[in-house]
Amino acid sequence: MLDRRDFLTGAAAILGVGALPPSARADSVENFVDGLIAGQSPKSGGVLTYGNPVPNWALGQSDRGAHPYFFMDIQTRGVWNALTWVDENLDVVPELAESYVSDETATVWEYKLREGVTFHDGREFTSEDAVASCRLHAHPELGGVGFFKQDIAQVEPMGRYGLRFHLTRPNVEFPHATAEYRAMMLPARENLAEMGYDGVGTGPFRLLEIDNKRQFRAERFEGYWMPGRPYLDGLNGVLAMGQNAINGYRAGQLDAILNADPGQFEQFREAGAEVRTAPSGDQFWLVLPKNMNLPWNDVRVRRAMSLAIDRPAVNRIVYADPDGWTGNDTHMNGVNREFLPRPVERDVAEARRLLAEAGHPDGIELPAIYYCPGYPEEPRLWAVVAESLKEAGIALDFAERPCDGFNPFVSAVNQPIGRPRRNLVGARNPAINLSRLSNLNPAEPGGWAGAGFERYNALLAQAAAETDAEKRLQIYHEMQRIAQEEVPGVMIGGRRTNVVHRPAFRNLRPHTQLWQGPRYETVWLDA
Amino acid sequence: MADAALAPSAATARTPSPLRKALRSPATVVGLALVALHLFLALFAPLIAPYSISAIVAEGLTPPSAAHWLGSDQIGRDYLSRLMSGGRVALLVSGLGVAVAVALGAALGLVAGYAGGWLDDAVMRVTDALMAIPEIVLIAILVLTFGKDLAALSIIVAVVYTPGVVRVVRARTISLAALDYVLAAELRGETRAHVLFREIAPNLSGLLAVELAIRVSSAVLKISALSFLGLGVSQPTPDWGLMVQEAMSVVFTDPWFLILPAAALSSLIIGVNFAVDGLARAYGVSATEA
Amino acid sequence: MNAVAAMALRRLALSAVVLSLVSAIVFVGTEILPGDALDSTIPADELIYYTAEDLSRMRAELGLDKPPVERFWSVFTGLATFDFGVTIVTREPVWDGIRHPLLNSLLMAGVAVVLTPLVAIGLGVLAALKPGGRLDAAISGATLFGYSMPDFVVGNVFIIVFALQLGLAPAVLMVAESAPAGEMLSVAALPVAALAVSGVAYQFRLLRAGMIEAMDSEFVERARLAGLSERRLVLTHALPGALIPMLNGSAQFVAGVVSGAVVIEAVFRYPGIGLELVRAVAQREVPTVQAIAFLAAFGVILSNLLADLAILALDPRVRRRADG
Repeated sequence: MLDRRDFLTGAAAILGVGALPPSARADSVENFVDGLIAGQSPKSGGVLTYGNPVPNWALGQSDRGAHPYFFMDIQTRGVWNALTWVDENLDVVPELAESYVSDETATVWEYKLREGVTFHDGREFTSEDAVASCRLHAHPELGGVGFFKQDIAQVEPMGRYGLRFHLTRPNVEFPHATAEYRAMMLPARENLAEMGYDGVGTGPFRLLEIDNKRQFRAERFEGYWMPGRPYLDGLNGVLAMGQNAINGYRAGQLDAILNADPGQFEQFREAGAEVRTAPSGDQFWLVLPKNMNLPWNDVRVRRAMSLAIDRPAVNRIVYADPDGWTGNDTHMNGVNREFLPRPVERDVAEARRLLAEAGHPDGIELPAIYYCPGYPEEPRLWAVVAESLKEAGIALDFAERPCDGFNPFVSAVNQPIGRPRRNLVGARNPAINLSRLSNLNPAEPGGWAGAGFERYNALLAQAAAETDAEKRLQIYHEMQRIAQEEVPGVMIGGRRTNVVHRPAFRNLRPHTQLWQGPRYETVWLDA
Repeated sequence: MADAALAPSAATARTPSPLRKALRSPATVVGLALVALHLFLALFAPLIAPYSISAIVAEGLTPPSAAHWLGSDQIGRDYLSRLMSGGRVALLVSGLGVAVAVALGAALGLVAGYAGGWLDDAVMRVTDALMAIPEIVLIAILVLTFGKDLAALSIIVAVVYTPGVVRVVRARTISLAALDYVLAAELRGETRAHVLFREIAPNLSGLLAVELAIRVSSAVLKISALSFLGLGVSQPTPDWGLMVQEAMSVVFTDPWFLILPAAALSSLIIGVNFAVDGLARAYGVSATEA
Repeated sequence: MNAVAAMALRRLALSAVVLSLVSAIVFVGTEILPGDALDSTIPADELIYYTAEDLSRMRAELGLDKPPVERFWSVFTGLATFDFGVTIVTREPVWDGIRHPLLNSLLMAGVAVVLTPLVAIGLGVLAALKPGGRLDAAISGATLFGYSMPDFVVGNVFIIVFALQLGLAPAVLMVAESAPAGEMLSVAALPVAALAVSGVAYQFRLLRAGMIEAMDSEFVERARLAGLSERRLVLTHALPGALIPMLNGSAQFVAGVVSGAVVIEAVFRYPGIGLELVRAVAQREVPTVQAIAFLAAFGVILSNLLADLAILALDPRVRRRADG
């Protein structure tokens, strides 16, 4: 831990956050990029056109797509940069920040900015822009970064290349929040409401044209702060739902698909594509409102649900990934070091016994759970889940809704918890993951209450202020055990981010935390 | 035996019933058989299908086998069972909705056509307005209003198809009302209700039967299109429109998943058209006015 | 001729009445919604940050707190003056959101509306030359097949055959919504062709029936005896009469093209008004749905009016009725 004096002088020390052995870590984005390029002799040129089979959930009007909040899906890092980046091991490293450090209470964070960074319009990126961007993201009405709204009390400049955050609560893992998908650095404007619409960022590609409902085109930004990068002349993205992904690839129109349907992997391989999967990816959380008179208010019913769901079958049938990971009924992701698996994978007999004990010996009918097909394979996933529940006598209907307007629909009733539904959960660090079942999140615990919940909240606050990684790990494990005991909601798990691409494009890598990748600075065309 | 139908004596000796006449055309027989097959499946598919429509009985896509004649779909459900049930919802919803549309449309058309005057004008202008909104657009509006469960879809079909029936029935009513026997009844001093329901209405039965059949087949297409667009039937209920949509992502490896539901759907449409053409000819109703 | 002008005027007035009724239907159909579309106002994931007061303030801003009659009047006057208001989600003019898609759809539907009757007439003439012949059987069979195939199957088969197997057209339409007409047309060949299939099939069946009937008529028989060639007979005697039912059905035809376009656009992801409609319904974007429904009906009524006038000009019997 830094002492107060080091902190005040703005020492360029990086606080170890959930530290890995140093050898496995990139300590900046540049090191990561250099590490991938090492030993290769990359060529310049070529244009990468990728298909994105995920619906654009930001409801973007086409003329708003230049704003990072409304950009096609959340693949913003081709055009913009954030202060920090979460690497492939889910460790946070500096991006437009050069370093960051907190005081010993973890309520004040100071970031030193990288110098010599310019925006696509030629202006220099300084603390003025960083402060304005963070204020925008944390703004109660305009802002779109939940963790900024939740944590930031105030942000101020420190000279030309520095800024200081004052948080509302201790958070030793705060730098993960500055890497979030909308937390991009934008040119400052007097009026925050006008920021972001010009499509100007600091990223490797400069936006030329965007139709947010369909596609964007971007070209190499010559003034990019990583010298000599990117290698590609251009980057195009196209929304390619359903069969358009495979058709576009077969027709030679698309060079890559981000998050292809795993059910099409074989077809892509037959068409000559390379299929790459990350260690993990997004997962689905079943929000079970317990503030209404529903059968799953009884913890035994919830335990029976979790025990009945055949997660390995989901992995085999839906993800074509028999050895895949499975969710553990918290928001923790299989790749988190702190992840604690559920003690029993599946036990239909025990599920039936629990149901009988809860007064449902002949099975039970549960209210419908809503979902939107956020990933192409999702309808199949819920079909498998519903069938496996049926084997334990649980009748549960998964009702499909369109993705556009899905969140408003499910939150329109029973506020703030909303309807029974699935939430899409990204892979994040443990503090953020576990905060989603706490009283900091009004919806996802679904009205979880009682002694277990109180204990869970207390542990979360304790962890957020605990600087000893080993002690934090113990706390995180205990929190997961509590959640697995009381099953406030159910996690399916098993998904891995994937990229399917023509082999000639090198270093195109999927990222477990979807919005951190691919890093296009590493990609080159071996023509 | 087959020649008997062609023998002149058979035709002159006794006037055959229109149905028997219709059955001499092979196209009509094929059409009726197809319609009967589809109706049978719509009613009894769950009883005779080898598996449940939602049960996962295999590990993902599998080729045809003794246990699964048409293999299994992407999540391992028996494809034959799903194909057999793929027209149920659309046929049920269309049948119900169109029956309501025909009943309602016939009543409105009869009254408007016979009464004439402002009532006729009012009914016809609303009819024109409803028909000016393209079917899919009107359906979209109604999905917004009523939702997309079975009851909602039936209501939607009823609303969409009523105006067309009104128009046809009204036209026929006007021409019938000018016929001698209707005029005679009026001169006899029969009540308007008597004239309408005893004299005119019975002569509409052939027309209404044709209307019913043609519009059910059109409604089935619309409902499948709606499912294809994601605004209609949803998982795990099998629907040919939805099955076509699902098939598109595996069409290169498993083209049958496209061909089979498409063939099922079009065999129903062809069947209805053949049957209607034949019956309409036999009963002397013009199918094109429908 | 005065009587014809009066009839034309009457048709025009009727069209206006029908269009007003359309807006009434659209209003009733969209605004007796359970709840209102405000719930779609708020970007994904963010609803938890809004309070009940925020929501009622926004409801007031959108005029959703007014009584239905008042709302109907404002919707009606809006539609009647082609002022479609602002979207509920993004508060941007509805017109801005649908302008490009509308033009793109008009482009596609326009080509289909012109192309379809030409192809249908061509096929109809070929078939009528030798009714029951091999060519007639082939065309009739093909059109029956086309007629019975749903649009979404035809569209997808076209993509597989013409785009993926033969490489004649793009499989994915990579074109921005606001692309110029030339660029749009260059990618639209396949969707237009798919859109025309069912229309051609339907019109062909109408035409063939009419022409075969006409070829057997006394009128044609007399001309035949006078030594006119079969081709001449078909073109000059049978075809004009058979066109009347086609023209009579033109409102239905245009409505059918619009319905078909919605599906075909979804198959090809063509950036048109149909995609916008499906999207607007999914988002419960009521003002956009109202605008699209109104514009679609406007197009249908307009084409019906034009067809009526064309019949008035073409068909002596109708003219006589108008005079008498």
